[in-house]
Amino acid sequence: MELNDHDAVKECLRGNKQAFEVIVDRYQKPIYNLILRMVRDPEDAADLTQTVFVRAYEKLKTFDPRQKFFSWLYRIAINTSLNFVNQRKHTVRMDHAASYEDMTAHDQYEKAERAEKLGEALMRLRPEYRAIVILRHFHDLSYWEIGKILDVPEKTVKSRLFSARQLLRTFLVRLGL
Amino acid sequence: MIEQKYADLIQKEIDGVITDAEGRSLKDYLARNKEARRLREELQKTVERLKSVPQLDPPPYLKKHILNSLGVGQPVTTPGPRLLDRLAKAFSHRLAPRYAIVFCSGFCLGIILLFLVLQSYEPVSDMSQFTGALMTVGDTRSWKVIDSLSIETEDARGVVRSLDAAGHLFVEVDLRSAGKAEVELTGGPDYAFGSYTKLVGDALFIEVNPACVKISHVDKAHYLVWFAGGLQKGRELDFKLRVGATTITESVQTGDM
Repeated sequence: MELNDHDAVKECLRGNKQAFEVIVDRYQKPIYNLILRMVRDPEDAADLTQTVFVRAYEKLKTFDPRQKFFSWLYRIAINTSLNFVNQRKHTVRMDHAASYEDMTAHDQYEKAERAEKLGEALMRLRPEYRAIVILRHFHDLSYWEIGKILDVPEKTVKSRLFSARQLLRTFLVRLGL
Repeated sequence: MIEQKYADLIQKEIDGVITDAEGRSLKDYLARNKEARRLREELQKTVERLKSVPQLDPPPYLKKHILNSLGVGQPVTTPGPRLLDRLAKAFSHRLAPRYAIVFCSGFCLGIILLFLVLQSYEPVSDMSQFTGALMTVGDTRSWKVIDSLSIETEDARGVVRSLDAAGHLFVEVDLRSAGKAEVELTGGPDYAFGSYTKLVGDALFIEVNPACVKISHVDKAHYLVWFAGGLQKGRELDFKLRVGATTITESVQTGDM
């Protein structure tokens, strides 16, 4: 039977390093995608994902078991991404080609172009707004969960999300979507 | 103009957290406000677009890298795909790594070429007779043939020619032999050896005296030997070829240089 998050953390804290593999297996994809939307560069996203897991492992002792583990991990990921994007100004294109292998060339092109514009519009948002949009719409988290991850009140999450969506809509219209 | 209250309700509806009462209120408002309807439609479209973006798989090496950096699992010894990805990315996005890679490639190529040149270079033991001229051998067919000597024996076949190239005397030795052969060109004290150029083949040993060039252990060779200095009209060069037990001695005219 596979360990749940809390048991895996307990095992790690007991010195069973292999238990962390369960956590990596479970969260490497969502964390990678979360960071990818934040930084938009697959190479940087992979590097930062690695950093996030290493930090999480090193800070496991500080994890409060009353919390949800994924919220704690997402918080590390968001903070790591925010630090990174605040230090780095330039962005590069995100390569979506691998996800569109089964479509026709025309569909692939259209979808890739749309994703590209979406990515561009997302990058125009302030990182704090971007994080909320990503957590809400790519990870389907509630206002409350987002508030926990970002350490802001639920009300702030709601107002930022509303503003971010309206801004996003404006950017997408400007980009012809 | 959209009232803030209803703008917020539109957002709550999009997030699926609107109550029934709020939903009814919003519905009434939308029915009489065209601008609100448009905002709702556009926000819904925006959210749908966000949802349509696929989740990407992380690179396959990522897990190994994470676990390796934590000392969990087997150490990763081959970062192949990672390195390739980095190189591809460096080439496609960043100028500095691109220039660095091009520079390094050029440098390595240069080193390889230099190594190959040094490998094929055969030093001449006696450098004293070199005049310092740098010569590039072109097409010897355009040079004036002074004398030509055909060699036709059981073990060897070829030609020895004396050539006049703008006042310089060259002797061309083009030889194929069944076994290892030895070629000797002697001009006496009036001739001085200048240099030689190997056109084809190899020789294990070249002995150079001021007026004698000996090429040993030849089985397939095409040499161009340059003699310079003290050339006189009508003088000859002696050509000696030894293949196995056979020895051929001939004279090659050098004409009125």
